Amino acid sequence: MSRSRIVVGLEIGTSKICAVVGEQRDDGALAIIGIGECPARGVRKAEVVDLETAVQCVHQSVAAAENSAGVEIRSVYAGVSGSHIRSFNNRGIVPVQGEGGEIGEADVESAVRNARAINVPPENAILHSLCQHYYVDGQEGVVNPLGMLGARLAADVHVIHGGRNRTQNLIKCIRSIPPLEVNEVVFNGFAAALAVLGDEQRQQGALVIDMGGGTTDFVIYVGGAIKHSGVIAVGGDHISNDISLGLKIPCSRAERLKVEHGTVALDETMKGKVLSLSGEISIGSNVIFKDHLCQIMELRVEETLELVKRELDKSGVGELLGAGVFLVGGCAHVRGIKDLAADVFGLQAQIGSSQTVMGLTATLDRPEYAAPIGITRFGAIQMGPPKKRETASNLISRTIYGLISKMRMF
Amino acid sequence: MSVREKNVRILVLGVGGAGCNAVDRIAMDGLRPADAAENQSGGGVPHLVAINTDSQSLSMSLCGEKFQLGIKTTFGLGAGGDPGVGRKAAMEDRDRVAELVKSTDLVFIAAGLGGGTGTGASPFIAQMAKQAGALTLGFVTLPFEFEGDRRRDQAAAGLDELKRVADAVVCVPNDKLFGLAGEHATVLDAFRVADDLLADGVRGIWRMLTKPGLINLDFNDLRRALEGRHDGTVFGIGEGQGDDKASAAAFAALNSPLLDGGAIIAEAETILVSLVGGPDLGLAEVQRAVSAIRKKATLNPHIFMGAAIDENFTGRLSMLVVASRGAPGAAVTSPLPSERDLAASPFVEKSPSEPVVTLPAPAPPVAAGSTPRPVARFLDRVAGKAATGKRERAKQQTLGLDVNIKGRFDKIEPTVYDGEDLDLPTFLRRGIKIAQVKL
Repeated sequence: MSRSRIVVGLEIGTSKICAVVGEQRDDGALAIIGIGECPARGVRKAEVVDLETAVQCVHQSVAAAENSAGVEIRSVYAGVSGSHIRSFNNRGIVPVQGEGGEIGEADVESAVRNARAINVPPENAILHSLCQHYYVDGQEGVVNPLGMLGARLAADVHVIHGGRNRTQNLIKCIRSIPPLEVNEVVFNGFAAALAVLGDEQRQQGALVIDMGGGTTDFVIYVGGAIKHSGVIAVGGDHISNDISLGLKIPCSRAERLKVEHGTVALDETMKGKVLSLSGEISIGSNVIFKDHLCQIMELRVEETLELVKRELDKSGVGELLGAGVFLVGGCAHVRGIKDLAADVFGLQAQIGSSQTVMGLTATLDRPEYAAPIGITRFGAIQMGPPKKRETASNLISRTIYGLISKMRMF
Repeated sequence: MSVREKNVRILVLGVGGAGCNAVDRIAMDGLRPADAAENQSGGGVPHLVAINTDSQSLSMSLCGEKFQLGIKTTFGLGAGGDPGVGRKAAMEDRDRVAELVKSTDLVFIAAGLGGGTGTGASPFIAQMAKQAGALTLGFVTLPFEFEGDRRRDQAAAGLDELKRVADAVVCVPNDKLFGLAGEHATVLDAFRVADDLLADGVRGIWRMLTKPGLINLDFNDLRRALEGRHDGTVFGIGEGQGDDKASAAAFAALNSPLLDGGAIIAEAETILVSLVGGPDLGLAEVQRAVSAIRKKATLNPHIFMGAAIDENFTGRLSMLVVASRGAPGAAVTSPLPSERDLAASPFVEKSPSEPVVTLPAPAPPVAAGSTPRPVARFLDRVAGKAATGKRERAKQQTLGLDVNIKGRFDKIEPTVYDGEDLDLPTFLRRGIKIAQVKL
């Protein structure tokens, strides 16, 4: 197979920069064949604040991914997050222009274009516009209107947009390492959902929370389509920072305490329990009580989940999430977060794993890789299924259906 | 049925430095010996609450009830001229504000726009009041030109926000007051005139609702006249004495430089006229006063009128005209302070009696019982109003604390959700103590 079957997802996260190499098989399935990562520097709250340092880290992680997969990487799909990401739902309505009232591709396109035409502030650019469903002459829930007869076509679209310059900075950061090019930019939360949710879960309704180092991205699926998405710029860094301030210890120590001893499941037995870090000389330092550590963590994590709950309540679909809550990102490792999330949302919660792709299972099971794997999957979808030799008419119809199914996929 | 039967609960909130000064002026009415009779008959002063983020300035307020806002956000140091901080402070105390405005019918919010607390917190408080079901009226001043562009812009933004949430906003552009303060007025004089105006407006409406009258204007009239009038609510006050006091009062109200010679009345859709006179007030006089206003109107407005009797007004007549028009972009203007109020100097009028300081739970101890003296009053004003001095002082102090409080997120764009700075540790924002044990 040629190079063109290789697809790379790059996530510039707050705590790690991670490149995932995927290979699209002949049957259309995606397999992860390599991964490279590097602890992130120069990134805060998922946004690049020190371009030069961040470029070095991107370089390292891409080089590691090349080694791991044994391929040369020329272009990547890049994940974007940060407090500038916003979303809204809108409906575009057009009179059907197709011959004899038959809805054609042009009608569908102009309905979607209509829907995304408004509301975005000038400093923002649209990242994704994802079709939820169509209406033909008021008939609800049309999945694929192509070829149907009607006078009026409406499209409900979920639009995700973000700061133009901030997104450009991210692209600039990657392109400053020749020969790397950026194929497309993907919202991290959306990518994480692509990785962990199967068709069935999207139909049942699900909430995916990607709680990373600097931001918490969330995506809500109902009836197979995205209903709401967003970013709350609070993440694992905030937990460590709270611990550092609350217990008056340095950040690095707070980070280690969080990982080694932290839990958000509070109970009576931890009261008065004194913690120590392995291999640390603790003369003159504060005594750390486990209940203090965990209380600080619990407050922050609970608050963050509650903020997501508020967003969920705003979209008014809380009842419709049959598949429940999927937690991914580094914070999914926090002990007890699953039960806490189940409590906060009143839904079943689980740690998400990237089931929708094949490959290095050790990687796929780890929730912090959901976003980069999802970005890779997004790239694979964009590339379309592998080409076969085919007749001209077959090709045309396939292109059209390919387009439609792509839209539906999101 | 009416306020006179105490069915309607009125709350007057002074928010920020200027707002607190305005409620101070009203609170002083209650302390004035001349008004003792008024106190017995008319229920004294309305329920006044001074709300501020600056605990020092708050401690000097004469107001009986004080409300320290956002102790965790500002540490009692004031909002430092930043409306964002003011708003955050108000949000921090969301529950206490809700408790304060609970089951009231009419809420006045007096504030000076342009600074931190008044600009940032009052729209939020107005919203809470509105949600509690009260008719919410904003009385605000806009900064003087010499206060600078930044304050002007902040004030404009705050006014827009307040207009969105309050039922009606009456605003007084301070620049229009230069004529009133006189050629040789000091900065302090100018600010005092502005504070007096705020107080006058609130007092005028409150008096109208609470005094027993020949013709009663009640809460429902006020509600009908003002509700939903987001723009162009304007009022003027005039006073007349002598034989033809009715015409004189109407003339004074209409021809005040601030009412633009009655031009606003011509465009009004609703006019509310409230007269307060002595027991000698005759119907003919009421008739004359109202028709003087009616003659100015051109749009056949809906006129609500009322006349109240107050023994203190024997031989004179005070007239309050509130004109509203629904159309946006209406010119804003302000009332003419009556001679009586201008003459009432805060320096002589202040009673040395000790104000009762009732501070809610998390507030730090403030100097209770500090006797308001002219010097204190002077400092109060400088602290609350003079833009530059105040801003710099507050900034320096909060900066020092900020470094410790935000840790690694100190110098980057804060994460703000619903006005709450999420970079601050959750336990700090919720006021949960983490005990420290040192070996």
